[in-house]
Amino acid sequence: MKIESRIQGTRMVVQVNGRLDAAWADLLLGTVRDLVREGHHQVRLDASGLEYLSSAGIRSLLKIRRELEAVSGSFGIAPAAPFVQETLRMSGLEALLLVGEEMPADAAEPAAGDNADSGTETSAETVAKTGASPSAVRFEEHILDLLGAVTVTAHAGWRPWQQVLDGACLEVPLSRPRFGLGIGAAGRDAEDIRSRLGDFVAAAGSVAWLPSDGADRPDYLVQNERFLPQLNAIQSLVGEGKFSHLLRFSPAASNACVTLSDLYEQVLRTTRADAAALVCLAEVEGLVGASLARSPGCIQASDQPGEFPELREWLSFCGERVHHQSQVLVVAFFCRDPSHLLAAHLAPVPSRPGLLAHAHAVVLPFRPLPQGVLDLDASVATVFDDNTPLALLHLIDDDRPAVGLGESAFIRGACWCAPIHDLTHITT
Amino acid sequence: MLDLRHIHKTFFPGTPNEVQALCGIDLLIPEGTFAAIIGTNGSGKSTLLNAVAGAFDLDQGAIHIDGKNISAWPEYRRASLIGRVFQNPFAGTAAEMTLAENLALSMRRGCRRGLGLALHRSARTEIADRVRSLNLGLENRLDNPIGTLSGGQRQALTLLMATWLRPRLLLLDEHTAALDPKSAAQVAELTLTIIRREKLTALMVTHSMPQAVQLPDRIIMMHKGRVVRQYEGQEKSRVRVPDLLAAFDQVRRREQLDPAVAHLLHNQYA
Repeated sequence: MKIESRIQGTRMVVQVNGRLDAAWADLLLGTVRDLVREGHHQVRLDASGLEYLSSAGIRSLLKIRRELEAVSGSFGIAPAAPFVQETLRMSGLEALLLVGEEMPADAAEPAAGDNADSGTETSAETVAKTGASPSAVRFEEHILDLLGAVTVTAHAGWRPWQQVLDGACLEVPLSRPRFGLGIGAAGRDAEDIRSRLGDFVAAAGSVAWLPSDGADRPDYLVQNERFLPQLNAIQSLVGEGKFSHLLRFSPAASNACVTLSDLYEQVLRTTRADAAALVCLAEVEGLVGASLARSPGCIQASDQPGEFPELREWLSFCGERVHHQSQVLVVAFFCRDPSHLLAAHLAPVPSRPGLLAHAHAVVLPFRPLPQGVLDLDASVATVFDDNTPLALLHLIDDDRPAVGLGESAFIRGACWCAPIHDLTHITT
Repeated sequence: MLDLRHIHKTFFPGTPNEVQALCGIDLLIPEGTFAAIIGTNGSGKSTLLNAVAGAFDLDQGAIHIDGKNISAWPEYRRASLIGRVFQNPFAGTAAEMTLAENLALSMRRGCRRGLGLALHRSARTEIADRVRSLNLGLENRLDNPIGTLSGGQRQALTLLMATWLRPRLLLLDEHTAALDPKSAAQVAELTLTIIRREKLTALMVTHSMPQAVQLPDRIIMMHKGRVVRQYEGQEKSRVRVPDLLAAFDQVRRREQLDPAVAHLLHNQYA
């Protein structure tokens, strides 16, 4: 089988010639998935050159249709060879898969790598602007709530790399609409989680953390009906409130990506604030980060976990840019005012002097996001639905000369953000 | 029971080719435990097996089997306690001798040998019974030269020979690595059957992660001459191949955490 793709108007047309059977169905599915990953959500299949269509082929077409519907895209076959029309008609799938050849382009639904044309949003609640950043990434700014702002609750029951004292642990509710990051674990009480404390990230009722008991895989809790997720944490930054903006970003040129500090700067510009918070769902270009390898709860008075080489036992560094093309949920708090109360909970971003930040990210298998304005709760729920987290990292800006890995970067995604208007410190 | 205490071995010391092969290995393998050793090339897996078998003298440390300190015993003397199966299926048998003759040798391993017939009738009967238990149909080919058998069949017979006298310790050095996938699976299954039936204490080196997950009671991960991680009990029962690969990756990442990275993390891991 031969598969070719071309952009036609606002649609991506995939032309298939030859046999679409069990041997080729997965290849077609993979090809279309790659196109969807690149942002092409309006797909037409040109089946005029198809010579054979088996049930395996039909199943792949139905799968493509379902996956595109999940991201508010569309899929149809046009034109189709007569036998294809007949096969689909006999299968009762004509209405689902066949579309008229003269079907007008869907102007209200910008498609496929079509962000260059998507300059305006007409919705009453949103206003969109476009502009290319210096790194050739296109941002769309959507105003969600002009008065949107978040209050941050900061708890530093533990400071690296001291012993965890009795009473350092705090029960932190992480149900919607809270979002946050820190070091904690799920368990009965402080003693129960002492040997499992790890980095965590939470947003929209989903909480993921990396237990440091050797499990090497993130665990997670998802809010469901009366179940409200919470962790016992020794360190946490939790935001609550309304997001003021949604930033959608995508590459304006091939291989373009947005770095985490680009995102911080864009959010601070957009929110016109000195301190802000963000929750971001994005496709990963590369992540750089570290995570706890041993629980801080196990630090003894004689240990020096913050010093090399003992640090190796306590922290795991990624060593290379990781998780390319996976999906990531990032929560970050950042400011550019060192005198801001939040600054005590942040660390300098070496590649952007003056900027301070704290960001955690949970990595999941890739799932495409619909275009336009997204609801955070629904988007995060979709990402976690039947999807197991792969890794969890405290993001690091590695600016070492020559050998540095740089900072984490993203290809495309959605970033909900708001200025921080209040900060509460909790002491334990 | 195998008890390794602070084993050190450096090859070519004081030369440009110096290799610290074993760096302070402490291991206790209780009676009846089947342990697998995994690790990258050069991690010291096979060196550890050779150290236990007595292929070279240790620089430091002691080896105990069932409470006996065998550190000073020569290799041939340790053979009375240890059964070994090597990676090469042609290494453990004499190709020109028949199956029955090869097996008769293993029947009398560690015993005084005279000029009497090794293959008397009762011995043949016992050999046929044991070979039949392999379910390979070889009991009818006892008089064929063992060199006429396939690699998998020879390795199965080598395993039978190594365990004939129920050794106090069985050493398996990548004993399925040179076999085709189907034979490797058969020999692996046979290994587990024999170890469980005879309640043997066994140490197996393998590069096969599925084997390491499926066969043993305990997994020992080695890297650069050290034991870096062990999986046993509940942790072993839940471990899967991707977990082992992730653990190797973690070991590799740990090495990349040099003083410069430590400084970076010290500043940014708030």
